[in-house]
Amino acid sequence: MSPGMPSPEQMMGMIAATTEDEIDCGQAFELMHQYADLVDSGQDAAALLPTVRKHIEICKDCRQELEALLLAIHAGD
Amino acid sequence: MIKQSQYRDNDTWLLDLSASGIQRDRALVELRAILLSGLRAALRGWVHASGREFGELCEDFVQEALVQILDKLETFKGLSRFTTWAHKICIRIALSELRRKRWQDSSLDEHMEQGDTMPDTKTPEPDAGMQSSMSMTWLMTAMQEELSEKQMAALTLVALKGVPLEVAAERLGTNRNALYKLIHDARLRLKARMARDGMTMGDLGHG
Repeated sequence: MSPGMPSPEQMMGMIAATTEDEIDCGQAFELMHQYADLVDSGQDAAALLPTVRKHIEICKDCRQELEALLLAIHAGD
Repeated sequence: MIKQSQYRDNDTWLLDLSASGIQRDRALVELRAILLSGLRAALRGWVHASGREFGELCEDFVQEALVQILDKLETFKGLSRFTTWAHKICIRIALSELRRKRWQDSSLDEHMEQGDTMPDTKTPEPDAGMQSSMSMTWLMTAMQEELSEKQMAALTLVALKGVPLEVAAERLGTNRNALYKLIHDARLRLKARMARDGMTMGDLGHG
């Protein structure tokens, strides 16, 4: 297993948390800017957009993009 | 309340960028500066953030982003600050390209060769305990018995080897969304197998 990759237990935890109604990366991208502004303004983004929250918990690529987006918008605050 | 840190509000951005002549040019100059500043901050963890190359790289990404933003202007629904939406497009362009560059020299084909589509279970980590070993054994068996060859390759590349979705999708001849769905279906199959095998979160050390 590659360094930094999930352990078998983490992998199985991710499998156990899988639900039918997950959104894909394209759907997450459509809501990402809204989610980022909610986070940036101190609102409960996870409660307001739970499908995005769920997606970024699972999808490393989208999580990285959200983190980068938050850094970018903070640069202009 | 969402802050609007720049002097333009969303309507003004849309109006100015849809205009022509100096009105549009001024808006583009301002948007370019905002995106550049944001991208420089966002990429600090991704590339060595100093020197001319970094600056040129950012400028190239921002230029491409501006083209896409102008193309997609009518799709902005006003659910966030305009600049956040614009940053999002710029970040996607930049990270997609950086991921491709980072993995372009890595031979994913080696990972795809028969016998290496599964994690290495023959040589467990030195500190791996009995729980980890049992979990790995279950995972390996379930993947082999429940997943298609394509699902196994996708899950192994993305979830176990950490290959970015776009890079893996390109190698597997698909796209990011379709690959995510393929992996999602694989996880659902494995979750059903967990239930059939009577495994609980407690068995995973989470209960």
